[in-house]
Amino acid sequence: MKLYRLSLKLMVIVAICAVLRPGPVGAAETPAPGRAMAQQATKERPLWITADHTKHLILQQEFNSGPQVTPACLSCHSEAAAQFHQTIHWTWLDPATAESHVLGKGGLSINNF
Amino acid sequence: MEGNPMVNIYLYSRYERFWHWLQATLIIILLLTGFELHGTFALFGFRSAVGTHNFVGLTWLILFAFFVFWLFTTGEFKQYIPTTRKMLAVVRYYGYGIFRGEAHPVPKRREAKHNPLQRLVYLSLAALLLPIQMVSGFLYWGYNSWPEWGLTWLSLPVVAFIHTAGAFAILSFLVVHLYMITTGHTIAAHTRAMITGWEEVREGTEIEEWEQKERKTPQPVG
Amino acid sequence: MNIQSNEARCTSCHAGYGWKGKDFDFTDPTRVDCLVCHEQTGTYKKFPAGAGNPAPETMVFKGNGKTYHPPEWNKVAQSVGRPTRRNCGTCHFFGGGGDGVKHGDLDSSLIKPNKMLDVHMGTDGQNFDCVRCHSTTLHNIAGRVYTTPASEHRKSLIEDDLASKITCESCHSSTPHKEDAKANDHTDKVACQSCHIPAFARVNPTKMWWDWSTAGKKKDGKPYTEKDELGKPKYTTKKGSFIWSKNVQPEYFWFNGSIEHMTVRDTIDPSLPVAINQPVGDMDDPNSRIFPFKVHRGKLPYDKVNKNLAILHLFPKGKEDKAAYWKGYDWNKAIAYGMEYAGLKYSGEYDFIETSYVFPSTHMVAPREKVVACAECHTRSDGRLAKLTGMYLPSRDRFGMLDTIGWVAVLGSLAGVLLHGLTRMFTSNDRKRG
Repeated sequence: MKLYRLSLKLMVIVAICAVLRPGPVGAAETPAPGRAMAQQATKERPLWITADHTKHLILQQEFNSGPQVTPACLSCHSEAAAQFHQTIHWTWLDPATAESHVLGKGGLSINNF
Repeated sequence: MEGNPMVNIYLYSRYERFWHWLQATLIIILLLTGFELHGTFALFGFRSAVGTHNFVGLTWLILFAFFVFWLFTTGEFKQYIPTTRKMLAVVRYYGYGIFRGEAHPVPKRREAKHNPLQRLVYLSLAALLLPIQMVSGFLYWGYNSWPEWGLTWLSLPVVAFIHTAGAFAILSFLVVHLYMITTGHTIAAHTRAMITGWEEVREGTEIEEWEQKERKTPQPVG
Repeated sequence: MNIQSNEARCTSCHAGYGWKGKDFDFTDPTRVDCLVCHEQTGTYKKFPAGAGNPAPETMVFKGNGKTYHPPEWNKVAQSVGRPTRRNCGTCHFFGGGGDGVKHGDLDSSLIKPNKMLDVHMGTDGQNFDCVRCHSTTLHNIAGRVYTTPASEHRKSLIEDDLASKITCESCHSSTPHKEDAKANDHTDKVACQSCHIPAFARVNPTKMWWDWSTAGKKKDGKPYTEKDELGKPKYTTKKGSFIWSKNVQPEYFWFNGSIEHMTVRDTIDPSLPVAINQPVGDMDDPNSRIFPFKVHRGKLPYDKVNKNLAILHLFPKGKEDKAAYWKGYDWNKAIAYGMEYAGLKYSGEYDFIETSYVFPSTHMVAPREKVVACAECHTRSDGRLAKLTGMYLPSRDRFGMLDTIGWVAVLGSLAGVLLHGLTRMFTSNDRKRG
């Protein structure tokens, strides 16, 4: 009789544990710390600037080429293109000798590659 | 004089002996590290050698100042005053007479520890060679501060040249010195004197009474 | 090597769309490619022969056999942010035609480096992006531009918090070594990079030699490639022979931040190797310091009569463009086309000449434990600075005459005292008897 009661108690305990074990069943419970960090690193993008570009309607239109995207950027970042046009990343010319159109990838520079 | 028994006279004070061995150690360390820095061999590793050479060199500089102070306050500077009296006799002794067992023409006395040749050599060392080495070394060490010190006209190759030349001179002196100390009454006599302070000399060689200090432990004479 | 007449291929690294030839409208704001620098999905790729455009539809580039897809424009556009190492590296790691070809200290190993490769950019450390040091204002990115140094002064942010962060001194000051004051004494003459970048190309190899003169050989009438032990090409029909190296020790020159560059118009002396660019500086210039460089050497075609380097038309403009070297494999035609395109004369006669081109090494900063040891420069022979003569370097330099006289004196003294001592020994018996 004693053994029977004991094994009954054991089965109840096991059943309770089975129900309450962590897993998809316990979605509302805190997940394991490693899992939370992994999801944070890969899925979430921490926002540290004041704009979330996924919310801007102008970037949600249909684009078929790069030159179609740029005017959308410039609609807010109005001075960016003009600024960029002054730099060597755009002109591929050395600003110190731009007039003679000499030094620069876009000029008559040479390298041994 | 020959045939007279030997007596011990107290020649070198505690500070004198302390300074001798201390300076010897410092100079040997400086020579070892210095020639490593010169590129002659590798022993401590360049970085270690620089650190050691700098530390020991500056220490030597400071301690040498104490030595100069002692020289003048005790009157020991008189031992270094050069003279030409009996110079030829000394040179003749070391070049010829020593092989024939002749007596040293200028035996040691408390107030005249150095023979004329020694006076000249040690004065050149203490007043010229060692200070030049210390000054050139100090300048070498302070290279980055030359503009601050108003020494823009100095040139590193010149300072290096002087310092290296000095090192070779000191090394040559060391070689000769280590040999010359064996020319005493016995091979170890002078070394023993520089350790204990007591030198064994022949009795009757113009030693003053006051020189014969009482020793704490009796020492067999002769 | 120059982009004139090769634009469609070369401008895949232009931050713009459509620079195919001379008619590119540099005033058109819509042609600016914002995305290549700012997009953060990592999926945006420009088609190698697309003149700056991504692939308009899924297509294969014959040059490398890879498939390129058009970008998901909305995703890409909405992902914009501050440029990361991947953004800058997508062009700057692959310059010269492949990963790690050009700079030596910039290649794809810097996308996710560890601190051993670069202490600043290591993902296990501070994880610096390029823009952290390459301070940017109004799209003007700090850094050397040909002869213009990266910075005219070397100020720390403590002296001027608005100074550019491009120099080491801006964060580290010119006396950063706490424990070792002697190291601080070096910073006026030795650049930080000289001691802290012991070798470049420590993970991926870099190209050290490119001989164009051997190009053009085919196997069974077809272009072919041969690989070396590092898995890198050592010969391709299109480009010639290469030598790749890893863990390369830099070469050192006096450098004040400016590099002089040759152009195709400059006359060369064919009897000597041509230094296409050279670091400016010398030991008496207070602004110059000893700086590490990658020196890339190779052979280029040049105009034998006019004595200038040549512009090569390599990339065909169309299927029938036989003047392009990569179609016709004829140097004369390629040079003629390229020079004419650039409005320059060509005599019709060419030959090959050895050239050199330098890149300053400033990335791949090693951790402090890996700093160059003192004895690697302060050593009599085979030191890192063996070729940098003219200044007195302790432990490397000495006065031969002084050493000779010095050792003669020392050994002479030794000989002298030995002789004296032996004589005493031999005459001591006589003395005892007498």
